[in-house]
Amino acid sequence: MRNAVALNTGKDEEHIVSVILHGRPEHRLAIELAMDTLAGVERVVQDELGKYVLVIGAPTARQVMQQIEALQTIEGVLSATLVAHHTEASEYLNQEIEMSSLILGKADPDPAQIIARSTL
Amino acid sequence: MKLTRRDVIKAQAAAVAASVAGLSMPVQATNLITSSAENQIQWDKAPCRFCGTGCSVSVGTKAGKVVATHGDQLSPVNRGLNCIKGYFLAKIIYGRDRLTQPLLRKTNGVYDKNGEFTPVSWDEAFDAMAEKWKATLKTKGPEAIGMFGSGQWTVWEGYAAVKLMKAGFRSNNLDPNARHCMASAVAGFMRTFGIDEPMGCYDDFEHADAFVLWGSNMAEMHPILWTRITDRRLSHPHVKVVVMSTYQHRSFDLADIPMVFKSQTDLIIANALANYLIENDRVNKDFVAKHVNFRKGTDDIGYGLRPEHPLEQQAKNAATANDSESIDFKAYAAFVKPYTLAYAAKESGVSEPALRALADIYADPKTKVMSLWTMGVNQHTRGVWMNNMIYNLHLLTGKISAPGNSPFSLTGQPSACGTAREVGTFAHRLPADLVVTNPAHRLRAEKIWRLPEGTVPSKVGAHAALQNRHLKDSKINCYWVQVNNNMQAAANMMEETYPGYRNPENFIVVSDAYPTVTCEAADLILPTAMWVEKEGAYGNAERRTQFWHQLTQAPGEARSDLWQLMEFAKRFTMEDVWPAELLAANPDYKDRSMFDVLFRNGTVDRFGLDEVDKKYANDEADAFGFYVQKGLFEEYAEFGRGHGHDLAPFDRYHEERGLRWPVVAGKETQWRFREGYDPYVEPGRGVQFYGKSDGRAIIFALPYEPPAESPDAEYDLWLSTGRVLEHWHSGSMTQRVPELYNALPDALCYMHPDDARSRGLRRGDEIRVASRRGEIRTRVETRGRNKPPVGLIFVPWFDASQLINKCTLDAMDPISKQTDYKKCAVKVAKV
Repeated sequence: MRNAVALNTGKDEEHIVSVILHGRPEHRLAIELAMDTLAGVERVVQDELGKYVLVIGAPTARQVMQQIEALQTIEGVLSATLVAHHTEASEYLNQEIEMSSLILGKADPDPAQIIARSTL
Repeated sequence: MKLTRRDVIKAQAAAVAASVAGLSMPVQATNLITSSAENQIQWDKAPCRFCGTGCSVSVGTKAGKVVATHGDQLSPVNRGLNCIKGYFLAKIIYGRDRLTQPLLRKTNGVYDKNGEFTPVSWDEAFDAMAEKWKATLKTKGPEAIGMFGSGQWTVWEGYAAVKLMKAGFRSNNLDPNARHCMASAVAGFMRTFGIDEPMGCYDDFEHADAFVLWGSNMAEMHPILWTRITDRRLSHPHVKVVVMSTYQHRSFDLADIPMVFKSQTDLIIANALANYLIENDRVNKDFVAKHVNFRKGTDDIGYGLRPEHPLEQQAKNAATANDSESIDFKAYAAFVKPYTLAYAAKESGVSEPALRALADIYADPKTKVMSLWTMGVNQHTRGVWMNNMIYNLHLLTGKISAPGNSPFSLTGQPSACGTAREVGTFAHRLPADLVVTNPAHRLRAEKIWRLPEGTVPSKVGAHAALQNRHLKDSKINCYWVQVNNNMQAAANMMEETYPGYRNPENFIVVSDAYPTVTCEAADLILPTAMWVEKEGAYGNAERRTQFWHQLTQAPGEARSDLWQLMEFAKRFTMEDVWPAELLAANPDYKDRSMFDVLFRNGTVDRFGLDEVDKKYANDEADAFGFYVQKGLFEEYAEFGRGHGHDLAPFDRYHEERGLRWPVVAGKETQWRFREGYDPYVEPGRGVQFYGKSDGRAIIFALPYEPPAESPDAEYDLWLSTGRVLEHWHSGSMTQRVPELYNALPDALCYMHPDDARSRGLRRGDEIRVASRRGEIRTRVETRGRNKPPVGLIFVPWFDASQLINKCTLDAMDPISKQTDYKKCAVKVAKV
């Protein structure tokens, strides 16, 4: 029984995660250069204190983890914290959707409000 | 504009993170956010299954399966953040080797201790168990029955276990694995304040000007709280972070004052800081005069080893380790006077300027300071003393029970506070800080439980390490382990743990969700429902009680620990478990089942099925015909209401992201002992440490004493064990998650490059780590996340293929009975 660790791996899963990254502000340029070279890592928004929101998409969860590990080892990065994740079949994610089903027209809606509503 | 679901989901994920980070999303991205109805996911809240932080997680279920989790934005604890373990939380339920049926060791169809694990029905499993329990009760009495539980039990599971063991079987041989984790913190609180658990809360993070880590790698073990400290440090440049440890780890990345000290010299450093405060006239004399008493603790207290061990033979005061005598401030000042910064620097290896910088943080009346600690302080043969000595610094300066001024004992398990401590699953405890040795406390428990006087035994039961010794010595013969993996977790495995489990006179039952090394050593394995497969409650490190609903079904025949405890009680009549004298004096209890007496007592069964929220399943309520969780919780809450441990009514916790006790008049308490925050402080007192009858906390004079074992010519290295970010404790859940398993599949021996070189070793070499008690094979890591100094190695304990507790020593703090997993002597050689 010992070492009989059984792993449950989904084959056609696709992974999307968002990450908050804290870097030392004085290392900002080097951190951004380094993270922009990582496949699947997108910078969404950031501030001048070295805080970033990133989205990572990858065909396997293992690749997501490798990218997070890579982020954490960039010089000046203090933490890279996962926030949300979604796992779904690629086939489903590839489906196109109608624009009419989206929330449109609000200049700057408060994401917290939207999420608070949708997660409760 | 063509969009895929992928684009929308990416925008949603980013929006959640941006909201948590307090950043605004670009307009074009927010336009993509749709409602979650699109994805047909039902979202509910649940506290995380892992550490003591108590993060709330939004759990998404779709078609009866947990498909997504993210940090809960409405949680004041984690504010939407999740650590890597919490991120993969959904997957811990779905490992392929979940236990789904009871397994009994059999040969040719009958029970055999040396037989093979064979699937059996619950009836057969409980029959086999009850037969052993009854026979043992008859021949040897209740002291031969034992149970080892957990700070991962839900509140009602721990509470049901206390009733079953202490009132039903009348044995106090019940202890939680929190003994390995929090016992020194508990004893520290009880000695200094007379009441358990921190006075402050997580809100202190945003108020403090300095953070001092006394023995905690928060960056890996409490990453979400570490994010709050990181945020505070980066956004407020005056804030200082001090990280103290016996080796360099990830938390050092943020340290303004890093300190690597020689093992055990934290005792010297703490006294040197106290002396510095006194010599530099930085004592808050008004606070000390009003709120503090001084006592000198007993010294030369031994190491909690077996009585015949030479170290115990030599110790003068092992039997009176917890004693102390009253002294005054002058005597205390004289006691710490030899502990100068220069002396501390010489003994600890930390530079004098660094020690002075740390001392000035405590000394400056304008600097609000938060001290934080976990296993480095608690898993220590003088762990209670270290807890007391950290409180000394806060009491001398009056920096306590106020926003940002906070000595804060962090916890390791999700309900170490809520279940192990508050419910009182320790061998000496009852709920709400009551103890079995106090006749008035026993009487109170018996009254609440509607049981006759004299039901609860007065003798303190066997603690964790003593249970293993008693199993080996055939003093405990029937043993039930729930929600933990103590074969892997307990120290000195080959000499003190394994022999007891395989002792032919013993019958060992292990309830778990996955096969572990403890299951492997058992005679009967019971499959357990976990986390959101049942309704639950946890209590975190800041006194926050949190509830969750059952969100999904357990696989196969797996049942919750609560169901197991209550269903097993049905197998006994009171004549089976209580002595004839007790029944003769109380004939009303005759001819009844133990289940009826403990759980159909008119209190536990008073809430009907109509009170269960129809939106959620509740397997235990269905099985027993009443709202079991509510009944147990409300009965338990009677212990603390009006006694400083007030809990809110049951239903409110399903609405809230937790509440911090005492909850009085519907309001939670952030800072205890401080007027204006804590309703228990009498008006005009300002500060009142009401756990002590005179309202005064105690400053203890305590010396340095050496560890139980130190490196010598043959065993020339210190061994420190501990945890890692990716795996939780013994890895029985996190190793089932492919991403976490792959991130760190095997334990490594972290070592200084010079130590490797002098032994002819290179990074990646296979080595043997050996102590006087056992050895393991592992590989050398000289460049990893942990950077030990010359003379010390660090080996994590999550890996069942490298059981480092074969090497550790079962020396413990003689007051708290908590094992020191951070200090023993080993040697390392190439295989």
